[in-house]
Amino acid sequence: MTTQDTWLSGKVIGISISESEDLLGYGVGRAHLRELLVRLARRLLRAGANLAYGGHFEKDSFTRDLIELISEEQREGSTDQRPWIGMLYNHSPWPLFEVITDEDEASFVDACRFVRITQEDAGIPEDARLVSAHERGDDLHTLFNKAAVLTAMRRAMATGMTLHDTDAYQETIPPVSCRVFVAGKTSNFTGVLPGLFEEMLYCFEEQKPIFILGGFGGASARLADYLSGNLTAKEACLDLDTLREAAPNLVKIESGFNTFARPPEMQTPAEALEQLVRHLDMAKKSFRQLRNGLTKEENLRLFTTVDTAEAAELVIRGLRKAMAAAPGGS
Amino acid sequence: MNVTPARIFVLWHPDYPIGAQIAQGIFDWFRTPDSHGIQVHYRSQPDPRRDDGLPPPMPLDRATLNLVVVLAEPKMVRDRLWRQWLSELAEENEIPRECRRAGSGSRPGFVKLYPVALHRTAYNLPGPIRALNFISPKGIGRGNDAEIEQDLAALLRNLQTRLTEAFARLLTQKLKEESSPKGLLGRMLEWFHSLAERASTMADEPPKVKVFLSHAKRDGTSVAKAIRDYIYQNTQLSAFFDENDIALGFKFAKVLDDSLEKDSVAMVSVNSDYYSSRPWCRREIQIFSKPRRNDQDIWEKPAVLVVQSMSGGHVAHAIPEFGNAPVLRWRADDEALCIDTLLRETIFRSYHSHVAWLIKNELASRDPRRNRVFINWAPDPLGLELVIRQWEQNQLHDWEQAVSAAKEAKQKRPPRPKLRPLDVIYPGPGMSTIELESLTERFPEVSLLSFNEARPMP
Repeated sequence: MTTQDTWLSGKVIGISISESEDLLGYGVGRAHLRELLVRLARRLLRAGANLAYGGHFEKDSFTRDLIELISEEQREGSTDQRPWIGMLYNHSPWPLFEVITDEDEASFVDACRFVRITQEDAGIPEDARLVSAHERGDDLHTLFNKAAVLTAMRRAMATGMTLHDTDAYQETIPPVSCRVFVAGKTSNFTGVLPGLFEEMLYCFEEQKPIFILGGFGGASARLADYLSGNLTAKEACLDLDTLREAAPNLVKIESGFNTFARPPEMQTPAEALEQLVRHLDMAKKSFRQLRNGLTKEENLRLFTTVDTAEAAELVIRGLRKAMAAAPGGS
Repeated sequence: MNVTPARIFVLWHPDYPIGAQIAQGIFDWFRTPDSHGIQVHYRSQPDPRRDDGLPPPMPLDRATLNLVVVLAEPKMVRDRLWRQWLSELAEENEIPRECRRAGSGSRPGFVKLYPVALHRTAYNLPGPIRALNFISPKGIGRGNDAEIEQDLAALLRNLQTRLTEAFARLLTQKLKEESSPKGLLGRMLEWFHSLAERASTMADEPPKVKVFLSHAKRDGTSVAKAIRDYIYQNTQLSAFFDENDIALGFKFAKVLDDSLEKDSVAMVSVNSDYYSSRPWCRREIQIFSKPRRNDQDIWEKPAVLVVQSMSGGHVAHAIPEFGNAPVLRWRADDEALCIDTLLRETIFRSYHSHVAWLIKNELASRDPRRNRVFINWAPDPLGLELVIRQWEQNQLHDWEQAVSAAKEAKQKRPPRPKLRPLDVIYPGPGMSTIELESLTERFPEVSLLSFNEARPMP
């Protein structure tokens, strides 16, 4: 379009996307997820939005795809930058952030704000914090601390947080205004719940709009199918035994609650799952609980479409309505 | 979900270890990183939402043409369930059972299966598949997975060549039946169509369609010759190479212009040291890359591939007529890649013309008086300038004719057409911001809309 319409200016759109085990069962691969991400992110950025993505920073990661896109959109290196194009908040939990170097941060300083979530941020008592995870492998203490940090990160994305880089410099990282869910793992996860489940739980709690793109499989498809009544809770992995089977570490994390002091905001897998199912059951009765501005029919399309253009269009359509309806919306 | 002209499905057995890599190679070839080109979908693992153990059903009514690539190897050949599925698909490919069962009421698209022999046992797939002409990529040997994986790049390259040619034939033929866009690409469609009937019409075989090889003799002819030789030895195209292709006694410029404007469907421009300074070369690219309107009112530019063969150390000028044409640096033995890229670009243009035609029909009922120009290439300043100016001239010409007719019939003089606002609707999901800004600055009074932006959502 030729005119500037920054209707999402100042908003932060959370994106939950990761490859799932059953991606191919839905007839798509990583290339399709990347295409969807670029299509959607480009439209959001041009409307002035910032993006938030809690993913790792390795080569060929979605984080890199997003940074590359944003750099391109901002006209990287030019003196004539486009200030309305947003940036990425890349939330990175301990110990994953250890791979991010000062040089990485300096290289992408305009496009990405790396938000490191530490053990301290997670409320882990000082004497229970670990120095480095890499040397320890997957022992109980490491697993428990990792899960606690993941919870803290996912909560921080939903509620916002303040960063203290130095005593003299503080920065507020805003919460997401809504979240888009695509694919996502349901097995071998390292938190108290599959990442996408936990992120959705905090969105429900904070009453943020939720967009579920179920056509690309994974955790999103399970939740979409649960909401549309095609799957039972057990089939949708909303069952503790199913999750324990899918992620052997979960039992260890559960036992960690008996061994270590529980950080203030951390829930047990059972507690978190119960909360999520309660929210989902309410949303099942009325899709309005998703607060995403879409009609029931539009949500059902969003739950099943594999057409990347259609999925992006539906998210934009819903966001326009949801933002207009939100307090302070235009 | 909108109907598209064509979709590719790649089918492989979930236990075939390199199937996903081959599928990704096909995706990357037919779908560019900025989401241009033909949609590619995968069918491999069982659909977790169903209990029949098969991959998700293919929505065959969503595309005019469904191109189904079957990666055939022992895992697939021995699997009874897959055998049954593929048999049904092959047997019923004109009216797939799946669509009838779904009772969608919409017309299923045409289905064409392309089995690819990745192992000697591939030909043991069930009868209906066995009856088809398999694609046998070079370098498969006995189909040892480890050997194939070692030289996967070569296999993919070869497979891309074979699929590009196969798709080009069918795509153009079927799309022609659907919308019959004429013009340069329309003629290519007719030619591809004729290929299918060649055996029975050998006596009056239609002339081969030409690729124009634009090159500067001063820099030598080795690159253009290598490409020409490849065309004659490995494809069913023909080439316009130089004045030797003009019959003695015929007017040089006239034959050349006809070849550029009527006979040639695509151009390889060998951009050597002195290419940009040769008046004839400039004239060739200028005439050939001029936008033309087909009979469906879609503006088309034929595909040009720029083969960069400058020797280094020589300073030459850039050529604006190249626009957004793909550029390939010349390497010996890359003739196949040149022709594949050119053919792929031609497929994309043809595909885009068809999508433009579909959108034009969808939009016809909405605000029919709005000025809209549909183009089949990624817009470049010069091409856009030419198309807008030509469109304006056509509008005024039509109006002047209407004025004359009204005068003769002693009727009221029709009002002068309003030339703005004008939407220019171009292929793909949208340009990068830098391209869009540059064009918007140049054409501030025109709205540039991608197919995705212009297309009404159902």
